[in-house]
Amino acid sequence: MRAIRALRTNRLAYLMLLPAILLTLMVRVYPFLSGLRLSLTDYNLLRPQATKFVGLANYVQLLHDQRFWHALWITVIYSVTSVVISYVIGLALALLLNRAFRGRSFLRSLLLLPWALPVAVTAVTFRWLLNDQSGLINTILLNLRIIDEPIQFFATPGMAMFTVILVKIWRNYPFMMVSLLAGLQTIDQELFEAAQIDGADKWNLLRYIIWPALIPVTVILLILQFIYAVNDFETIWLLTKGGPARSTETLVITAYQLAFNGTAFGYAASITVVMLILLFFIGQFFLRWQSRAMYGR
Amino acid sequence: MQRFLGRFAGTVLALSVLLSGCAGTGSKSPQTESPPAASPAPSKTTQTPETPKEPVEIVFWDMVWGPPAYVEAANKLTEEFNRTHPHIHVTYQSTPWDNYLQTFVTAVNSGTAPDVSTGGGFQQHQLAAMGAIAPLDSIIEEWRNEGTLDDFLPGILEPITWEGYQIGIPWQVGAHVFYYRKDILEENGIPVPQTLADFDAAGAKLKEKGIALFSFSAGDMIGAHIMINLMLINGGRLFYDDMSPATLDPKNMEVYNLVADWVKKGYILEGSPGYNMETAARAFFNGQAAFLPHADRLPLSYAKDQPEVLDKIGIMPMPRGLDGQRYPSLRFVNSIMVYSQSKHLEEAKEFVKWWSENQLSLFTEGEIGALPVRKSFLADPFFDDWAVKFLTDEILPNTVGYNAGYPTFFPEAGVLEGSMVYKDLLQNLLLGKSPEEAANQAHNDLKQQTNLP
Repeated sequence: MRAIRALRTNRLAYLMLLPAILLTLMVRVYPFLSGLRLSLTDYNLLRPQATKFVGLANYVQLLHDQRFWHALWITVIYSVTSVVISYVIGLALALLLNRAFRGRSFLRSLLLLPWALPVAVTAVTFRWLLNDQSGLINTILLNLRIIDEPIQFFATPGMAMFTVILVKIWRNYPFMMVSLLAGLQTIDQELFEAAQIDGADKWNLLRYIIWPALIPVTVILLILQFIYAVNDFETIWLLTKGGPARSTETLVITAYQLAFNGTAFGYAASITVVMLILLFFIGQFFLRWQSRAMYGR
Repeated sequence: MQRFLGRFAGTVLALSVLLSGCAGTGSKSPQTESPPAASPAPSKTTQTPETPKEPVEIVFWDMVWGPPAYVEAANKLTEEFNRTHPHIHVTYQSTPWDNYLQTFVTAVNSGTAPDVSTGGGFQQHQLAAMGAIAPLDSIIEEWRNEGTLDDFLPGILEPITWEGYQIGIPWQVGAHVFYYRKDILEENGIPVPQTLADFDAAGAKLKEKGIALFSFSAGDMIGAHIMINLMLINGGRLFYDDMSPATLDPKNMEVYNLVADWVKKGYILEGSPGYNMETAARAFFNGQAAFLPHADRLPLSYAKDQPEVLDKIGIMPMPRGLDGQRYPSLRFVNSIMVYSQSKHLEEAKEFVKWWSENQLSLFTEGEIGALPVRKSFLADPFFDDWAVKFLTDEILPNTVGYNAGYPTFFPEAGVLEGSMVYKDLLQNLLLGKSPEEAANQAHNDLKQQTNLP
C-alpha cells in the first residue's frame, strides 16, 4: 500500500525516468540476454541457417579447451598486474600531489595526459617508440650504450606481456591518481595534527588514518579498473593482436578472434558470459573485503 | 490546473523522447531477407520531361589497396564515373584493412551493407554463404556478347563463383615472392637458392657474417602467407578432397620441421615473431637479413624514396620443394562485389562493369603492389618494369590460391585468412615450439573454426 501510495505521489518522477530506464534496458539488458541466448547455440557465420540450440555444450567445450584456460590465465596476469601497479603508482602520486608545492598544478596536468589520449593514439605511438628498427627508445638506449642490441619488445612472449602491461599501467595510473587524490582531500586535517601530536610517524599516518579513509574509494576504483582490464580489447589488439603465439591473448581477444575471424559466434558468446561471471565474483570479493575492513563483518 | 498542465507537459515530453528512441531499431538477418525488388520504371504519365530525375545513390566501400595515392586515384575515377553517368551517383568510401571482415559482417547483419565493395580474396565467398552477395552473371554475359571476356587472364574468373554463380569480378592478382639482397649474396659468394634445401647452406654462411637468412613478417597476415606459401611450394596443401584440413599432411610437416630447423640454427631475424609487414621489410632494407618473403611489389613501395636500396633488391625464382620438384606457389585474386541488400542492383552492376573496364589509373597512379587481371592493362607501358615482368613471366603462371586443388574458392578458405591459424603456427615455430605441437594446435583450431570433419 505504501509503495502504491509512493508511486501515485511520484508518478511524474517515474514517468520522467522511464525513457532512461528503457534505454538502459535496450543497450544493456537486451544485448546481454541476446548474448546469453547466442551462447546456447552453435551459431556459425559460415552456416547461419543451420544454427541449432545446443544448451550448455559450448560451456562444456570451454572446460576442455586449452585455449580458454590459457586466455583466462593471461587475463588474470594482465588485470592483476596492471591494476595493482597502477594503483600503487596512483597512490604515490596522489600523496605527492596532496602536498602544497610550487608547480603542483602544472605537474598534475602533465601527469593526467596519458588519460586524455585516445587508446588508438597511445598504442600506435608505443608501437613506434618500442620498434627495434626505428623506435625512439631503442635508439636512445643504443646511443647511450646502455644496450648493445635493440630490445625486442614484441618478439617474445615475456617481453610482449611486459609491453602490454606497461602501456596499460601508463594509461591507468592517472585515473587512480585523480580518484585517490580526491579521497585524500576529504580527510580532516585535524586527524593528522592529533596523530602527530601523539607521536605518529609517516608510516603510522598512512596505515591508521590515510588507508582506512581511502578504503571506500579504493574498492570502487579496483572494481572499475578490474572490469576495464578484463574487458580491455583495444590496448592489446592494437599492440600485439594477442601475439606472439597467443602469449598476450586475454579472454576478450579470444572471444573476438573466435567470433569475427573464426566465425564461431555461439562459442565466442559463451566466453563472454564466463567473463561476466568472473567480473561478478571480483566485484563481490572487493565489496566483502570493504565490509570486513570497515565494519569488521 | 497548473499541476495538471505540468503533468501533461511532462508526460508528452517523456513519450516523445521514448518514441524517438524507438525509431529505426531492429535488423533483419541476411538469410531471411529477400532480395530487394527492382525499382519500377518511372511511369510516362507521372513524369514530365522537364522534371529532373534524382540520380540513384550507390555506396561503394573500397579497401585500402595502396598508399594515399591510391585513394586519390580511386576518388578521381569515381568522380569520372559520376560525371559520365548522371543517373547514378557513387559515394566512395575508403575502408581500412584492420578487422575488415568484421566490418562487413557487422554491416551485413545490421542491414547496412554497401551496394558495392572490393574485398579480400575470399570475402565474397564468406558473405555469399550468408546470402549477402548478388550474382554478377549478367555482367559476364555482356562481356561475352561484346567479345571482351578474353581480356581477363585465363582461369581468373572461374574461382570467383559460388554454387554456379559469378559472385565477384576479379580486378587484381598478387603473388607471394622471395625478395633477396643481391649485394649481400654477391659479397658472400652465396648462389641464389634453387630449392628449399639450399637455404640451409646460405643460412650457415650468412650467420658467420652476423646476417640473418630471413626477415619474417610473422606479426600480421603476411606471416600466414609465408607459412602457406612454403607449404605449397613443397607440394603441400591446405584441404583434402573431402575439404578436411590438411594441416598434418606429411608434406606440410616437412616444412614445419624445416622452419623449426632454421630457428634452431639461428637463421631467422630475432624480431620476426612481432614484426609487421613494414618493419620486416625495413630490417631487410637495413641489411639485417638476406631474404624477405613478402607480397608481390608491396615492399618496393616502402623503399620508393631510397633508390640506393632498390638497386640492391631482386626477386628470386620460386624455389623448388625439398624433393626437388616444382610446385605452384601462392597467389591472391581480389574482387569487386555487389551486395544483395542493395536497393539498386542494376545500377550497382553498371558501376561494377564500368569500374572493371576503366580502372587502369588505379595501377598507374595508385601505386598498387598487385597486378591487374586484364591483358590490355598489362600491355600498358607502365608495366614495363623489372618486378612486373618477373611476376607476370616467372611467378604468376605457376600459382594457385587457397583453394589449391579445387575449382573455386569456398568460405572455409576465408577462415584460414581471417583466423590467422597459420600465422600462429609460424609464431609458435619461431618461438621454439615443437613442429608437432604447433601443427596439432593449428589443426585443432582450424577444425573447430570451420566445423569441418
